[in-house]
Amino acid sequence: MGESFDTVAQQFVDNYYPAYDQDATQIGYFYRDNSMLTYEGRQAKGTDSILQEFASRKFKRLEHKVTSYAAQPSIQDGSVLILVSGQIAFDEGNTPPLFFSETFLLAQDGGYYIFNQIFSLNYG
Amino acid sequence: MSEESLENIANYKIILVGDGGVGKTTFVKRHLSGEFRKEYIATVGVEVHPLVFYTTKCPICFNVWDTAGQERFGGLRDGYYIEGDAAIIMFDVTSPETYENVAVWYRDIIRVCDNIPMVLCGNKVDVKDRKVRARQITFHRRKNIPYFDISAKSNYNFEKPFLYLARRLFGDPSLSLDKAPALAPPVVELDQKDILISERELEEAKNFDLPDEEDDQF
Repeated sequence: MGESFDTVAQQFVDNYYPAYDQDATQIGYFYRDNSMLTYEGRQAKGTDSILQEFASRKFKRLEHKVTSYAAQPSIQDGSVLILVSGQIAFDEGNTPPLFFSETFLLAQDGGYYIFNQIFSLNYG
Repeated sequence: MSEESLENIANYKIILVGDGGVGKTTFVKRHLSGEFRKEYIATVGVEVHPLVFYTTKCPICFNVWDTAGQERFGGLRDGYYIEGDAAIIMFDVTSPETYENVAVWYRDIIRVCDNIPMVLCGNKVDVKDRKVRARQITFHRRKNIPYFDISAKSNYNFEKPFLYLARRLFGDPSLSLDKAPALAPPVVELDQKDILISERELEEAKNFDLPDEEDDQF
């Protein structure tokens, strides 16, 4: 076993959200063709359709602020399960903040990539 | 909402929907007393604006539900629609895409609320570069709901959708407003010539046959 799951989780969270916020259509390197995304109920499988799903949402500005996360080693060797909670601000930011939670299962294939990803806004 | 000092006031929940950026929040913020008394319900992610209108029958309070922008991430949860008494669907006349999505919003309302009174509004008619012409707006005719051109920034037609909904909710087509609501001062001027042209177009469009389209599936 290489890096600890905590280190993997921390590095992932520190890198993923800034990259997403900068340009979500350019983060294909986090995915593979067997990756799956569920984003507010909509599903996409594979790098291309996942990036398409991100591109279909138009924000002038988007900012994830991670407030906490927790990780565990998962079934396959080296795989890491992460739950992230935080706030999300977008566009002019004059609306109240929205809260989100997001779950990732990172798998190993040379480097780490996102195998499962589920994003959900937290509201009634 | 907080307790109401007015007697015999009728309260209704109004669902305000439409794509992100069409001007829903700008529109609802024009009404000054509603803006003053709005309330954010964080768990539901909704800002409720109590807009009071004085009608010839009695005062009426429209508790307008405005999202915190969740629609930009996907559809809205059922909790947003549940117990809605009436709905306003809004699109942006400078963005054809937002007009195309009107059918989706309509379907979502119907799915949860059945046939509540509804009205369709095309916002931003103050913008010179209008892309959705009056004669292209046919969705409301298929569904038999009224349509109004509006301009939130100039207050143009602000009260029209509310007056229509009040008439429907009271079942009184002759109902009218006793006094105009206090609105924030306009921040743009409307070109009267453009407005006259659009109003004429809307009037003429009523007589055109509906084009055959497949969007009746909703």
